[in-house]
Amino acid sequence: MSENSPQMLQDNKTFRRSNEILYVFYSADELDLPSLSKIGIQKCIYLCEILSPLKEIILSFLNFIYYHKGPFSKDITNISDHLVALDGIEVDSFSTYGKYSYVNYKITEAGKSLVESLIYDPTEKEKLQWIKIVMRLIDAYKDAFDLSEEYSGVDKIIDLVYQEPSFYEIKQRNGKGELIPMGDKNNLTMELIHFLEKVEESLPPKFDREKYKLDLETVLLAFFEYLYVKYLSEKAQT
Amino acid sequence: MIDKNKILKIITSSPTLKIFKETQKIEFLSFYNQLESLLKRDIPYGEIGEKFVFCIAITFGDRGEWNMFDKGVLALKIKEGLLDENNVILSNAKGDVINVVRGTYINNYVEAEEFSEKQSQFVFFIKYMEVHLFMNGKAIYYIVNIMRPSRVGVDTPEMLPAREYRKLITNHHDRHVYKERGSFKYWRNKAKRILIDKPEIQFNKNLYSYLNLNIADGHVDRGATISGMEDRTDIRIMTFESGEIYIIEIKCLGKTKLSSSEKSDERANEGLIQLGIYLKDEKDSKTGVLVLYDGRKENKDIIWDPEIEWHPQMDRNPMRFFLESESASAKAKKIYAKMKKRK
Repeated sequence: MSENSPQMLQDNKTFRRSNEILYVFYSADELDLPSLSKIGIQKCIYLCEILSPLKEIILSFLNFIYYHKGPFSKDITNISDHLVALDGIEVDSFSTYGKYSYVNYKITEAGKSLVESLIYDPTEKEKLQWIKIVMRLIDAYKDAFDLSEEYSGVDKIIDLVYQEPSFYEIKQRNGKGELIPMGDKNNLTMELIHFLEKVEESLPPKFDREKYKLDLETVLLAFFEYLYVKYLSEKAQT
Repeated sequence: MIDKNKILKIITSSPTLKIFKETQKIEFLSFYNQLESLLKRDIPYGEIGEKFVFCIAITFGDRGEWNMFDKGVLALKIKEGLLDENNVILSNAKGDVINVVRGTYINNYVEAEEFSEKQSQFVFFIKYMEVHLFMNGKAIYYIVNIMRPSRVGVDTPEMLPAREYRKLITNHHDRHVYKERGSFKYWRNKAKRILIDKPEIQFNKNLYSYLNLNIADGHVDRGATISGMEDRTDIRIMTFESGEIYIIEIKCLGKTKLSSSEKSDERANEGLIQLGIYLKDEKDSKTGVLVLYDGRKENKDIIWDPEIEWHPQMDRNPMRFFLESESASAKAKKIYAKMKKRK
């Protein structure tokens, strides 16, 4: 089979996606986060991907659709199962929300070794670093007051992801099953990010604009805080 | 659609952005978020007295013996008297408690600030529902009442634009000052109408905190300098749209334990002159208002000195709030006695 055959390209894509999912588990482990359910994995990867144009990181974009528990990618479910079969991740515990039980996964020693070999490649290392930045913010916000009481651990960010502008817009018009525009520099998420990147220019000259210039990490933090504040505002109204 | 004012509020005033700018540590944000949840959900305010105070100093490393964020654990330890003699908890950024610092009891935010400076630490000072945050002796953030919405940018029913400053200041009085309705206590001796020491600082902090959460379209500062001058305003609001400035000058009337006589008309007139100076120097000012919290024995109008020149940007109706110290029944008795006398 040639390197560029459709089958090979598809396999490469699947490998890249598997690696990226593994990076999420690797980062979660480094941050001492609780094991991740499929709900949590979906949300973490969604945020890593939708925000990735900010650092011009090219992740192998998955197709996320608007689903009843937020953005959902069928591929993540399949790849996670595949990673379990390959001993990259393993079942750690279970969470029960209402009538449903969810399996929680964590990375295995073999999975960690694999990641550590993959990041010899600078592109892969950069991807891991990016995922780690987003995961650290997810960790910082998962225990914020009033977030998704019915969920636990990383799954609690579900309420923040609901406020994510590209998803929110589709949710507002009840576009169930609709594809969320990922990797697009002009989607609503990036509109917000671009605004944050030059936020000081929106302030009148009387403000000390230099003081309010944001670096990449602070842009991301402001983005998360915006989602949280929007969530609290919405909750206060109901 | 992006809510630009919300973003600008977050950028200029959010506690999380301030913490990150000062520390560059996301772990501290995580700590802040967890502490906010803990204080809102887990502390038995109904059982502990209003004088309850404690401090948390954050350090690196070591896993502790217990984690303060585990549900109910800190509340139980408080009930068991953990913080009765020494009240500074040394914890890592994950909330693992390393120890309670021996021989240290911090009573007020000034001591907490000093402790933070001496120990080069990130320190939370919690006095009942009030929260102060210091980093290396620098005040980073202040929350007047943790049980109120404490995140800047959250839509509140009381949120208004800066031009509605009179309504905002009145709402603050009605909801949080009137009869010490909120957690803010300003009487040292209510029966004798003696105010706490340095009451202006406390009223300033309390009003600032309220405005910071409830001004929809601007940034609120305490002690902001006037352009090119050394002078510092009590409270300044600067709008995001046009950069218009609103200046609030606060004066307290009445008696404190430290003052030999009751501060009255003279103090109010001084406030007016001071505000006039700020308005003259601050070219972008839209308006300035004098706010008087009146703890005098009698509820009487201010006699304004006719020689004082009112600056054109000055609100011609200074806002005076008489601080009530009597219960409704005591007040009713007095009114009825007066009515009977007249008969």
